Amino acid sequence: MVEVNLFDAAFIMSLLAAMLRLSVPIVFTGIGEVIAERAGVVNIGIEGVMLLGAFSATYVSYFTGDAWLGVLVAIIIGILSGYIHGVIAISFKGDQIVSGVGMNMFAYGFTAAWLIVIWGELAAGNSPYVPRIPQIPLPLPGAFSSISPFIILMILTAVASYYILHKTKFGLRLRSIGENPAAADVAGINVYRVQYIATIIGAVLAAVGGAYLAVDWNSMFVRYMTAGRGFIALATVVFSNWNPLLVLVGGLLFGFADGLQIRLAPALGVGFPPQFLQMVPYILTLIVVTGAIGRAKPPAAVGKPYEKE
Amino acid sequence: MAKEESKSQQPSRERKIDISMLMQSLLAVALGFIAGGIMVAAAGYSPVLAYGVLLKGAFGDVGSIAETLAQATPLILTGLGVAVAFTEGCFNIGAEGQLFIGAFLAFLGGYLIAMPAPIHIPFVILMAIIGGAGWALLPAILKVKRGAHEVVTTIMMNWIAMLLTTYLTLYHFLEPTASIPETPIINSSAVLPIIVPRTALSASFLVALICVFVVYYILKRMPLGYEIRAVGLNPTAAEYGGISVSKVWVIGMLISGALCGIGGAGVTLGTYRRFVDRFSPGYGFDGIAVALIGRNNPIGALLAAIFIGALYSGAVYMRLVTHMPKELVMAIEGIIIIFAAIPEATRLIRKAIEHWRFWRAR
Amino acid sequence: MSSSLAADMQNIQKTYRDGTVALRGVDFTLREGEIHALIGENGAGKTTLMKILYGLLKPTAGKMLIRGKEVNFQHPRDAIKNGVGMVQQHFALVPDFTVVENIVLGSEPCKQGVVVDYKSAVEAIKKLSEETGLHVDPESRVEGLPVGVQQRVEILKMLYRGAMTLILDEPTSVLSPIEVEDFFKILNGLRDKGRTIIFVTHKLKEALAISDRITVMRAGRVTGVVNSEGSTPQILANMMVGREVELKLEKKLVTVGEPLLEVEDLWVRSDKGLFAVKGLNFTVRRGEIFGVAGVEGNGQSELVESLTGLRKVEKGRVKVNGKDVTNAPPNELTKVGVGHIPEDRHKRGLILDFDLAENLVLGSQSNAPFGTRFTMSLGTIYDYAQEAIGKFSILAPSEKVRVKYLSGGNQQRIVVARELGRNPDFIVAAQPTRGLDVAATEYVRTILLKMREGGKAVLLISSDLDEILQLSDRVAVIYEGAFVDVRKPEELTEEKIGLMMGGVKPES
Repeated sequence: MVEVNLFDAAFIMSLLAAMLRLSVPIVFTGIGEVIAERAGVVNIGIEGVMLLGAFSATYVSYFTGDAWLGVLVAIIIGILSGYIHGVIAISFKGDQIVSGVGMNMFAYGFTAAWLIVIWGELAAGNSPYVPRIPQIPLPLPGAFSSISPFIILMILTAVASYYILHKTKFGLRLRSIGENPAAADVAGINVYRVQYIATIIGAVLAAVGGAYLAVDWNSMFVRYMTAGRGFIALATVVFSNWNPLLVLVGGLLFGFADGLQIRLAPALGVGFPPQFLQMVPYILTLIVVTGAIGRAKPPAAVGKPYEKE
Repeated sequence: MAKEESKSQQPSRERKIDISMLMQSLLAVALGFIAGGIMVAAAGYSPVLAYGVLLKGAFGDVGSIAETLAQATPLILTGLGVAVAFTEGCFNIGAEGQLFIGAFLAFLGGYLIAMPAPIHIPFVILMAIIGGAGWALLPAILKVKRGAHEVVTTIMMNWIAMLLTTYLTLYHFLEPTASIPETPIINSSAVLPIIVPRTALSASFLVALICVFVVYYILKRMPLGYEIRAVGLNPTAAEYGGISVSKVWVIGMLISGALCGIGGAGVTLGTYRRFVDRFSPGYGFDGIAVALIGRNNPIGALLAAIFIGALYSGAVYMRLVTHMPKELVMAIEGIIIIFAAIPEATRLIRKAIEHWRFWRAR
Repeated sequence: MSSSLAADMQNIQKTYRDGTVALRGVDFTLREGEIHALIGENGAGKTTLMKILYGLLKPTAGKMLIRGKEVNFQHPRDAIKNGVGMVQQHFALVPDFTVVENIVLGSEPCKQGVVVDYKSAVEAIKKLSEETGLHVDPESRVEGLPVGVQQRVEILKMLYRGAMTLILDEPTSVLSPIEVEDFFKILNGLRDKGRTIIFVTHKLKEALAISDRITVMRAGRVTGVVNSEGSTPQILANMMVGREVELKLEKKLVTVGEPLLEVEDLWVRSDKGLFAVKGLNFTVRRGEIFGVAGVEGNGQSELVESLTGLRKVEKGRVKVNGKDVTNAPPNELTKVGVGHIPEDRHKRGLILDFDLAENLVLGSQSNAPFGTRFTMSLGTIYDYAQEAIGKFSILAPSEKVRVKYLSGGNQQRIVVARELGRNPDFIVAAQPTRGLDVAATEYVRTILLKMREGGKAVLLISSDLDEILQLSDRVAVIYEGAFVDVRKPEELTEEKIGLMMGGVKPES
């Protein structure tokens, strides 16, 4: 058994670094869903969009050697996925939850199958290593000797989203649709168009979150690698009371729980079952979603397709 | 305002609508297949060849049919479970977790206890029922009391169930000589025997069939089923009719969880005779596809489960030819589900055809 | 008053897609700088006409001129561009937003076209408030504001966009009498500053008090346009309601028996939290039909729901057959013998996707003879349904047809069949013939009369005056949660009812 002093500075640093890094996919996806839900559209399929983003980034990075290009392609995939969900939820006024579940299943199946199609039988569990996003070197020791550019992007996205939602014309109109689409319509706002834009933005951010997982946090695509993070992102949306800045906080919290089980379990030794630590993010989500931490108020018209009279 | 009635007395269109529902499912399935064909072609193989092999693999001979039914068995049960939940207007995505808990409890009952077979099997199944229902109880209560959305809560329960059963298997019931994490074999008195020799088809299939009829009976002939349907269709009118909406809702979820639990028991008692860690390739989610394709109808769910079971069992053969793994089936299911989300897709297509004809005639 | 026309609507017709005719060729003229009242009963077409003026609806035929210019509005945006604004009965406000955010939504002042300039908006609002007397706190959230203040926000919203003509749909329905006085002062102020106001209402006294001219509508047509000076509630009531009341159905003489329903000091709240029923006292006896007339929105729905176990009774008591059933749940009321024909059969009365037989047993599915707690006797249920089809003349191809495919009249017959099948002593019938054709209407009314002859009692709530006058033994007119008066139908003339519906108690 490896003896580790839990209060060793290096250990704490590595824990904090893990927390930051693991919060990124959840924060991106969570902010995206906040934007979509504030416009009244629910996208449960963001878990699947994350996977698709991860896979496409891996694919492109493998064949072009450029991880950033991979992220760009992931963004395109996000636009497509968001558009499809929009067509079903907004134009066809179909069941938003069923559409999301279908998207997830498709993504799970497609990415797992395509691993083998592209890289052969041996790649059933994961792809080969692919070029990773170059990290930014920092003049700090140990775990913080370099930092991912996505961490900075994540913070910028959170701040920018908050600003756009609460200070700009576009944000005001978007929020009005999620609360009272009829009032927005009468005020002359094109409800459907704004909803489409919001849904696509949501999917793009989820795809970016997934891409980060594959070509930054890791440097390969692992089968089913999102492991429910899309759903944890949904919980963060509730936890943050639909506020992008609080999504940052929520993401860090879940990132911490996630990092805990990855770092702590080996530190505690082989004898300690890691499963209980692995459960922490999910139990935390349960607690958050049932409003044990105060009742959160969703946008009043979320999930209801808008019918023009 | 005029009191004119614009709707004239119309003859029954119920036949038409049942057919329309069937058409919707067939349409979604057809579109899924087309998409699957595109994917196979994109991977560089002939879709016709691939599907041909798939069909032959699924239904080619008695052995294949037995394998198909064996694959379908857990799907029948999870499909029934999700269908009951849908009927009352609720989304039980927790089928996967309830399946695992049922499977593990079935293992415990079969391993730790010894009883004569005729009592042992029902007893163990009862344990699975309690396990599955119990696992559904928490999300149900959280929804009724705190308004927590059942989609997120049930999915979390899935992960917790998988982690919990993995833990119990690895740390308390590990079979030392096994190459994969699994438990020792259960007592032979709890085993559901194979009914077609040299196949995987066990008596769990019969259990599934019984459940189909039980669910049918509950929904169509019991006041409880009536109330479940009423709550799903129009809770306001149901309340007015004296039905306690939250009570019925929770009971419906319990039934749903129980069915998924039985599904897990079927796998433990019939297929593996032990609990295998992470044994489910997604039976819970397949259950969603089954319920949607089967339009929440117990018989429909049976047929849809056999259909998806055929896809999975045929996919094994398809892999030999195309190297496409069986996960492709999941992708096709996903597309089918997406299309199933479009309301009245058949009506939209008919309208589109009308428009096209109109402009062509010009 | 200037003589140019702020609005000139000529021969406006409106027929909806399902065939309902709302407007049958209406001419409406609005002079600049006047306050013009538009009055009529429910369904007269006043709101429809105004929605057309505001661009929410498009007329099927007719011409519209604003200040002499012909217009064709596609959307309220166009109306506002032409200076026409409307405050609807159900506000179009975003509760979660502040007053400023609500007022500027859609017409936001922006810096560089992106960031909203709230400061200048707040200043503009403050200026408007000073000018008009409509005081609001721009930073407060609309959700927490009293309804009267929310209304001010709606009006400011229109003024902010430069509306010179304001349409107000039933604006005083959310105001207390004192607030109404202040409100009228504000309206007069607006008028003096050059604006034109249309005041849609069913309240006769208010119409006379505030307006310069009054247009009266009935059944999709204009029945008269008068100057309010020199007009009286009686004249208006006649124009609003006047028609020959046909007493087609035969009403037998029935001796009235003991009290079946006793309501004492009933107070019930509406969804918004205010009291919709304010201390009602009345008794309905065996062999009697007690009719409640009145314009919708005066407490009828809340009264019905409180008597059928669907809404809480805050204060007061309800007794059926001497037994206290205040706040009893629906199935207990059924056991005591209370039946209910709900006003919205699609929402409350029927499960549209269930078939005829299943709907007939709603509420009795686990009782004999239809079943026990564990099983339903489908045979008995379907046989019963077949009988009911014959007995109640339901036109349906079979008892297995899904109710959503039947016409409204047949759907209502199913509701009636279900309720009567339980042999109630007392029926609450809310708008029972709404949306039904002539045959179904006559059928339902006959049933109610039969109940009366059989020594049962009926509480009939209807906005159809013919129906109330034909069927009732006593008529109460409800206004703002209380009965203006209770009279025998013989004592009532159209004019008197019109007055009462408008809130005025007639002298004789």
